[in-house]
Amino acid sequence: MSPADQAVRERALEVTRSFIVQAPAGSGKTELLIQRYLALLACVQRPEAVLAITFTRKAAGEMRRRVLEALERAGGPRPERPHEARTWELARAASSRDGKLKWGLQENPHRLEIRTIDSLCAALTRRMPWLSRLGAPPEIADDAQELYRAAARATLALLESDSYFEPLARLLEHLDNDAGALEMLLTGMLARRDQWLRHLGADRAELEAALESVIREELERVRRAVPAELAPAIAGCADFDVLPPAEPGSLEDWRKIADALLTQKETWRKNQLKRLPELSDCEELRRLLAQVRRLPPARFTDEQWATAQAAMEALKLAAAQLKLEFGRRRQADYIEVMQAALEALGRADEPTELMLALDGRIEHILVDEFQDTSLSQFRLLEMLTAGWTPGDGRTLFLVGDPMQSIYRFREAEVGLFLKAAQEGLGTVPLEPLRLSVNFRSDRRLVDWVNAAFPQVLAESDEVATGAVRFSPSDPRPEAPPGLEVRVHPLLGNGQEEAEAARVLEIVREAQARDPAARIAVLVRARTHLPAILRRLRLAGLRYRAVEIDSLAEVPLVEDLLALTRALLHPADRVAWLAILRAPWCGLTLEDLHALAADAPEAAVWDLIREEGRTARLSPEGRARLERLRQALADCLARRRPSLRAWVESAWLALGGPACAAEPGELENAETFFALLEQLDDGCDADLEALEERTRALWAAPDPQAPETLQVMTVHKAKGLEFDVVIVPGLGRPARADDPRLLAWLELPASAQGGRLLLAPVPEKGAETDPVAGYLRYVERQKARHEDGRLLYVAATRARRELHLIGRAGVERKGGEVKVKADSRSLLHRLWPAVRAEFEQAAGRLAPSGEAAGAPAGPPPLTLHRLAADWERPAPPPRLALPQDAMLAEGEAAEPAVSYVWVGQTLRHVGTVVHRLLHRIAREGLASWDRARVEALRPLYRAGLRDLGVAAEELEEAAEKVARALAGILEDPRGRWILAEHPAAESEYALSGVVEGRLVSVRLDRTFVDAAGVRWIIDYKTGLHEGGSVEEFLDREAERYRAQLERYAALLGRAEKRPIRMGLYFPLMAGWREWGAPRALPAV
Amino acid sequence: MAAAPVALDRAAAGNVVVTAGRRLARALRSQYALRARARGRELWPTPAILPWEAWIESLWEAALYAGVMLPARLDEDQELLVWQRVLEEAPQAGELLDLPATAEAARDSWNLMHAWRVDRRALEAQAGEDTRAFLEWALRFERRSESEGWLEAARRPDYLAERLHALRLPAAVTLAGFDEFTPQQKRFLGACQSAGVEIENLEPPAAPPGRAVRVAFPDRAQEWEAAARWARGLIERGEARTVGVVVPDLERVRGPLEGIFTRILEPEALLPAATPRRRCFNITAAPPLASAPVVRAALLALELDRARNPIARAGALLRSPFLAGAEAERGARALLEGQLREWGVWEVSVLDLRRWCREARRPCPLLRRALRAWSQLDCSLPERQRPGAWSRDFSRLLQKLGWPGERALSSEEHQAAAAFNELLERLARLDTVADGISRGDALGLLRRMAARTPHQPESEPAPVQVLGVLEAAGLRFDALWIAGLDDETWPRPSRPDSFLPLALQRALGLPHASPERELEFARRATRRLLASAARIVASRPLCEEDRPLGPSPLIRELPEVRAEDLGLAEGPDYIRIQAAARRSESFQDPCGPALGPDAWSRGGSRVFQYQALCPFRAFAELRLGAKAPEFPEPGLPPQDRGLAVHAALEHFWGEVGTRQRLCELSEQELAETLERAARAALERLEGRRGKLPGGFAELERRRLARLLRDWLELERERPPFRVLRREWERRIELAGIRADLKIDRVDQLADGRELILDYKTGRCSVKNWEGERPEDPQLPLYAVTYEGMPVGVAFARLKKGNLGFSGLADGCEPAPGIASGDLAARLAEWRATLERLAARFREGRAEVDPKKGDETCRTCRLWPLCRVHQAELSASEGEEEEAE
Ligand code: SF4
Repeated sequence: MSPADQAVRERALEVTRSFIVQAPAGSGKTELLIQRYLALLACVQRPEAVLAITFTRKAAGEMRRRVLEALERAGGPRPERPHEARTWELARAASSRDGKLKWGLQENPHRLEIRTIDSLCAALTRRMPWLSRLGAPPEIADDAQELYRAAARATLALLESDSYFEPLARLLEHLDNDAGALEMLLTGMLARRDQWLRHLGADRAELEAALESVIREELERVRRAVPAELAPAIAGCADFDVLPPAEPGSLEDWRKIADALLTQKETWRKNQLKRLPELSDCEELRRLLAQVRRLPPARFTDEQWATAQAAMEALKLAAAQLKLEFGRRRQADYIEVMQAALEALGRADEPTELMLALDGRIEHILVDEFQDTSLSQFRLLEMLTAGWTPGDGRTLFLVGDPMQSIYRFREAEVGLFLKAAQEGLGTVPLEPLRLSVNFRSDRRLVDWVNAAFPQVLAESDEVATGAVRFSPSDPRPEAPPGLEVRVHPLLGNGQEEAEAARVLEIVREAQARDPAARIAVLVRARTHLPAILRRLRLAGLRYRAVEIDSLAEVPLVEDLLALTRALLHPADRVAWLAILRAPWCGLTLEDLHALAADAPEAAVWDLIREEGRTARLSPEGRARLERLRQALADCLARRRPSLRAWVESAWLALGGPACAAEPGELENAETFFALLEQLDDGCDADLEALEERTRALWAAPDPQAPETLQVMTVHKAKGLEFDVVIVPGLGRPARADDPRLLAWLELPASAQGGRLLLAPVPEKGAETDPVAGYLRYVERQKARHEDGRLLYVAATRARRELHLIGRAGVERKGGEVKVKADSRSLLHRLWPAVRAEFEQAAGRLAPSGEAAGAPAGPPPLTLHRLAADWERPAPPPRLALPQDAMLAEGEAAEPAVSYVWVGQTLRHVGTVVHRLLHRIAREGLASWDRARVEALRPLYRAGLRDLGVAAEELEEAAEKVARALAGILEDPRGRWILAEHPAAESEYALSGVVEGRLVSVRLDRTFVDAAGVRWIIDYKTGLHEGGSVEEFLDREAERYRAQLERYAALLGRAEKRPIRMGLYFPLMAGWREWGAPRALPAV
Repeated sequence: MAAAPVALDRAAAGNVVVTAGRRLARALRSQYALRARARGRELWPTPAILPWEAWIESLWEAALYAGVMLPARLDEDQELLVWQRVLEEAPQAGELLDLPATAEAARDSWNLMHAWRVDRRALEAQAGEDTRAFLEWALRFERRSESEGWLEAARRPDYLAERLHALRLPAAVTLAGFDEFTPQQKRFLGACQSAGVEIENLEPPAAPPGRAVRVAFPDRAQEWEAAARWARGLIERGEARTVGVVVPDLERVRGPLEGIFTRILEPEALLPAATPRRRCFNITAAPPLASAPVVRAALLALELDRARNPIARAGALLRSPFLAGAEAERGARALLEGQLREWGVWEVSVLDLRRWCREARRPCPLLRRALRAWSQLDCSLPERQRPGAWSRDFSRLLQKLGWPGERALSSEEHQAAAAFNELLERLARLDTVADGISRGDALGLLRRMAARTPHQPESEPAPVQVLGVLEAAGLRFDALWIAGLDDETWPRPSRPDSFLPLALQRALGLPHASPERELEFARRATRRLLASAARIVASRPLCEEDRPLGPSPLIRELPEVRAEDLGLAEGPDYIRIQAAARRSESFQDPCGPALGPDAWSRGGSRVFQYQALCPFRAFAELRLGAKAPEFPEPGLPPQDRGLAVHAALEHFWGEVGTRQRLCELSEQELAETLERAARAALERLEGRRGKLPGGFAELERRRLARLLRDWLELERERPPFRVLRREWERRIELAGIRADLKIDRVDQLADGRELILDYKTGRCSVKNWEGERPEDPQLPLYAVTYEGMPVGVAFARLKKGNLGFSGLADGCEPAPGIASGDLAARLAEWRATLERLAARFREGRAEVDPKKGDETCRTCRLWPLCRVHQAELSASEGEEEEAE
């Protein structure tokens, strides 16, 4: 039987049309995407003409893999199942295209253009380094938090410069001089600058126009909502004859009406209801009137405006500082790259540039998870499709599910999906399609979702607030009926333990029903988990906690962090005491006190080494401390070239791995070491960054836990499915959004006048400002809508069983029991669907009070440590080296006497002289005289310049060369050296093996003199400074003696002549010589 | 037979052997030596075996000194600087994110253009805006070099090719290890041939079939570990003497890879103070010189700024082992840093630093001396001068600071320090292309050089070599492992040049231009690698991060084997050995030693507060003196802003004294008094933590005056009072705890009774006085230890937007917000609570028991010491142990 929406699925494969497809949970959207991708491949000239954009790299990888597999399978037999057969057909067509056009997709999978939007932007900017002004591609920082903070800090530092003092000072005063708060606000804003950068130029008139248009629209809606027959009565209740006009000027009048009709709690006033019973049917009117009270005034006060301007000014500065910071560190974040890509596309005059950049035309674009698109991404798509016209053969295919848009915190705007469905994207009209069959869940589950969620999600779509209407699903034809959805109501305060117990119960039951069932516990926030996890552990259940525990809270890593801190900071007393208490040492408080209490200002390591001090410790403590002292002494004496190696060596020396309670924990150590590698700054690290980054990393899930019990957040579970889904913590309030330096709201394009509302952060300690208040209200609306979607995502992960657990408050009035969910909780959203269960439970509640569940105090802390007599095992043996397979080359380096660098010109003169001496020797003395030496000055200059001598010094240096050469030609010694001799060589390159090393030398000059003595002569271009010439020459001879004797030793191997060595100083016609080496170095 | 012996024969015959890379040249020289020695020779003329670039340069030098007139060569640094200047002068280039890096990219394109002899007209014809911008820069670069008489590496081969007649050329050249030749190389070689040089190219030998297998591992780390174990196994069993391990993208993964190889091959080197032994393996990719600790320290020291040094930099210098006196003053300097951080100093001048070196509790005279010497030189340096002069002065500045320190350097450190001097030398060579530059620019250039110069301490050749794909060109091993051959990595994604038109790159077949080109490259490289050893394993990871990976299409044909069949060296690594040797005991330690009979407590009222919040905290902070370093941010930290308010009020009431006087002050007088108070407060603050930057000081003065003005409005509304005491220091004793307290203020009311006030600039609530574990027991403590009974105790809330009093008074309301109640009864309760807390503190009770769990811990930084996170786990572990 084919699914009910088969026709829609077929239509989505029409390669000449553009679509936007709503694909609810479990509707098999990935398969559809792949089918369309294959269909498109079969009709393009180059595979690169089809671009598929996915939300994550993982999704891109999976899609690529599935496409490749489909292509591979196309060579096999036709599968039985209809949808697989369809894919097979499409793959066959694509594959034959591949064969015909020789794409070689199997050999070169990189030709499949399946990417994330970030990688697309990176590719675009790489191709347009200049247009994007990004230049050479910077490294992308995955975690740019540090960069934002550095930029915010640099911005604050501008307070010291007169030209920027004003705006920053104003903001600081606004924030009660709390620079830390301003830094945090700026940091937070930089992380989302793609949204506000374009607003920084906003002017007051425009913004006020926007305020007016908001007020006007809202008032119009209220006016419309007033039933005509009630209008006079409603106007009358605030002593008006007729309803005030829907004009900003009448806002106050409307407020009066609202106040007259509504209580503080936004319900109809009782007396008014008595007067006008019809009001009870006017729910919409009530809601809108309540809204009127929240509307901001239409004008900014000067004070407000000045602060807003200061905020914009500060943000501009911060953005500029961030760019500088990026430049300095050669890094950038994804936002920067995306902005640069947008700029490049904006700057490029027309599609030709884009084609040049992309190496040809993009003809088809597919976008997955379109509901999570941000405004910038939307604009990028608009730019990529600029100039597309219907019927020109180019198509767009957007897939997603607005009901599953849950990335508001990452700037996803579900409104964009709705907008695209209504208006198309850019110039491309889109035909909306909707899949309806759920291939995942059992029948009862689908039915429950269909029944519950119309009330949980919004009644109608609304672009501005991201309200999304529910769209029902059909169960798959062969779906079994399955189990009822279970709601588990908990009542009263402090229900963590009860909730945890309930979770455990459900897990046990589910496992009893089916030991192989895949069970997931899904929560909104990690903070909802500790009690549950503790309970599971106590029950001996192992689970996979995916990105739940911070790495910084794993004791093993905590100890490593303390060790790192201690190594880097001798005065970090917490860290030092911590490593003494850590399992590898395990000192008691008594011993710690004996060691350190009387010296609060001393470095602990100094105390450990202090003569006699350790005698105060208990004998066992002393032994333990001694073990640590021995382990760390060598570490502290010398750093290693890398921080990781340093810390790891200390950790191993202490027996760190032996402190791991389970071998699985060691993986966390590896994660920590990898972080050290990243942050290593010359065997040092910024500890603040290290702590923060450790906190931001996740501990590895228990490797021994089975796949059948998993714990994660709803966000993490998106795209996954489980047999049994348990959602606890529904009654918990959501965390409030962080304050923003500047809040804004872009109105949908239909509004008249301005489009932008904007307000600076409220003054510290002051009443909230009404514009900011209104914006916050709208944000809260958006958040509430998203809560509904989060529930939808959680509920639709289940295949067979769904359990919802939440806590509601109980209020007793007289005999009546009222149950209420926290208004900030998910339960509140879900309330219409579960209320009945909760009220029933409340009815069962004993009249005396709330369900029991006294929070248990923490158990006494049990510490662990290595046994007192534990000994570190020896490391395994190193690889035994075979007999020399290769030879060492060069000479072992000898430490220098001094690391002072001195000028180089003189050395360059020497080099040129050297080269010319070589030439003279080669050509023969006869052809050289003073005139020739003089005539060659241009050559000296060229040589000197080539070596890097500055223009101003050239003349003088060339002069020195000329003088030196002339001197040599006149010096009898010089002439003797350069004269023709038997077996003479200059710049003679020789190799040999000395002490097992391959030694290659270059002899400046060597020959055999008339007496049969082998001379080895080295030219030295030193010049003496002060002191006597003779002393200088002696010193030099001493300095080079060993070197020359090594030469002699080498040469002595090949011939048996007597050897003499000489140093010749051409710049000063100096000479030293000596006879056979005192002792030949051994071979 | 393989290429290598042929190349050696040629070299012996006097041919110049030119290799594709440095590594191959080195290997051939070493093999030549081994062979020579094997043939019993002790000394031989060094054979001419050198990589291509070196060959070109040697020809160039020979020509130069033979008198051929040539332009001056630009070395890489010089060339890059010229490109950078060109870009700086180009319109709008200032908008670039990282101009020097872009200059480098433009230079790369320029190189490519010449190596592949891309026709400029063709370029222009297809140019988009990016190419046009590049061509514009290139034109400027070309003009500039022409007018200055420079020639950069990209064009030198062409230049030489036209002047070969003037050179002394070798008779025969043998080329080895080239996968392909660029058109420029071909042309050069062609010209050589025409000039009579005999050219011979040694093709890589064909792969003997059936020697290679493929294998997969769960992730990269396991893949590398297997490679190391394989190498170990082969060498230990004597089946191979040299093992190569090829890893694509080696630079990126060098760190983790080195860790794994060390663990498997040289485990003893993991421990500190392992005496350096001959390495078993080496990795060709070298980290940048800038990352060597001793060089990093030098750069850091050169960044030292007279006026402004962020605390992170100052701290790093204080803790650097590479400066004068670093060993002798290690503890003192670290304590000084801790002190600065505690004061909230986020920026420090050298002058202040020198002062503190003298005034610190543990002074640092050596550092002070070094800084003084540094200052003297520092202020004598000119604004701008030539790079060479900066080289000299940088070296002198470092000398003043005592770089590279008093310890003897290890061989590695020594080599890095020497390499740093070479950097200075290179900086000096920029004299030919740069005039006067600022100190900052010179330092920037130096830093960039350090960042792009790879540095690897010299090491002996090792039997196991880890190398990149290109570096392996032409090398031969007994056995070879090729890692990372998954379908994402191999062939690689194309990486076409950024500035040249893509279509043109593809048409000309430029390297990395297209997936097809990458495939072709990968094919050739694979073929070559598969032929370079008798035994080959090609491996791949099954996933990267969370993405599954397939085998590279280029190894799909190889037979797949299981890891177990490869003969990997077995045995646990050192970490597992240690983990297996775990012998642990559990213990509980909720109590430290009791307080001695006359012990003073350091903490004042914090004794009671901490004991209530979390007993461990009281013990650790107040008895053990546990302190974690702070991370100061710009601006005054909250506690300093609080102190300033205290000080300002103290000063104000010192002048004004009574409510009556306050009411009598004229507007003018009030303003002046407030101004004085604010100033005095700031002076007090600066006396403690050093001068505040002007802007922040000014703002804080304004804030204080504003806040106090608002506050005094409230004080005016009170019934008359006289300020009896301000910042009143007292010694108290309660239940055996003696402590020093400071009471912010005591007012005497009209009836003579006394009201205790405590200024609060943060959050506060009278609720925190109550219960078994009061979170804020300070005022109760003041009250119960007061001589005679006070009339009341109250917070004076000085928080913007939340000004007012809150507290309790005995049957009266001395200020709005202070409730009237039965103080005596409360005092009795408080006393009982405080005495109980005192007793616990005295006993040394130190349970890890944060009053409100996480919330309490958030304001405490003792967690590594208290091990509170272990509490989460201990329950389950306990159970397990029982089960055993
Ligand atoms: S971190 Fe928490 S448990 Fe540890 S000492 Fe501080 S308050 Fe106590």
